[in-house]
Amino acid sequence: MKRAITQIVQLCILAAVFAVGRNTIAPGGIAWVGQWTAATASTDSSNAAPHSPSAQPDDPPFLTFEAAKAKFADPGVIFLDARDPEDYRAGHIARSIALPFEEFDQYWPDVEPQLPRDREIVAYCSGAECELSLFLARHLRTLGYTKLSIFFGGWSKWQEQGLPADTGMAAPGTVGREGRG
Amino acid sequence: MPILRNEWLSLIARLVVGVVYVYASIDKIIHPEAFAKIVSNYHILPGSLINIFALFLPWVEMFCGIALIIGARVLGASTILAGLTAVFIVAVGINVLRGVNIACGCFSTSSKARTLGLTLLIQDAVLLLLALHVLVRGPGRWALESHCPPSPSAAAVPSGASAHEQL
Repeated sequence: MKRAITQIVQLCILAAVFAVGRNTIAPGGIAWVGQWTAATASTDSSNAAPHSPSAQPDDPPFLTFEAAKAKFADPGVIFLDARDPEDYRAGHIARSIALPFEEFDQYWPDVEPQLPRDREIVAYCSGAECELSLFLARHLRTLGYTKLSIFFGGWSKWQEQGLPADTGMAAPGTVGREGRG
Repeated sequence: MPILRNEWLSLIARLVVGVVYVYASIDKIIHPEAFAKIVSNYHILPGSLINIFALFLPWVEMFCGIALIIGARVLGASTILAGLTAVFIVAVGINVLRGVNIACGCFSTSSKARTLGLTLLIQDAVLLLLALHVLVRGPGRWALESHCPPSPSAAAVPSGASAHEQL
């Protein structure tokens, strides 16, 4: 029994040392105490812009639902859907372009020509349970995009409010061009 | 049953549990943020503990898995991993009963990876049985610690191993 406890303590200390070390030194570290409860609560309100609990101060801005709706009214703003292709196919914000974060490299060659770097871009995914939009926006920023924002309410909020949506997906090479005038 | 005392079964149980947990830890260590998100989706831990848990857990999995694979600190590692597996079964079970469709976070932090379900619970149950077998039966003949008894001659083995006690 004593031996088991000794070994458990040893293993936990070893894990703790590496956890602290990795999170302190390596890039991609996160806060030890996240703001999870506050973020979950804020997603219920359409006034406050829902944001990711892991958002950093220098991340692209998070849009309220109203702000996202206003951006949508501007045909010059491009909406990017960061979810899986299947989710996109099942339904997405009208005129949005599929750019699944987890299949980014596969989609990027087709999507890039549709995304001039000076255009305003809004990334979204399924909603508060999903952070793909944040990851996508961060990644696009490293590629030189500056006018980025994130609609963290995402598809669930959009659908709930009954705003313009499309279904289906064009063949590769024309991803996201459907529904465009 | 004689088969439960089989040295090969001990070895296989130790290696399977060890490899599963080392494999499970890697993606979570690489993507702490995504893993923390998955932990929060389980809606079990209070918000203030989510990140600490998400940062600490994968390393515990990693080192306990390595301990089982090489056969050192087997008693402690198998106790931790049996306990963790039991906790996972409860956490998954609660969310299956709640009927929520969230990512498992078992082997991958991808939201596209498998979601919770009965198959996962069965797999976890098998893993728990294997971990309990290691816990009860000990490291077996082919474990490192079975060959490194604490003795004056153990001075030649790497530091740390000298703290071993023989089963």
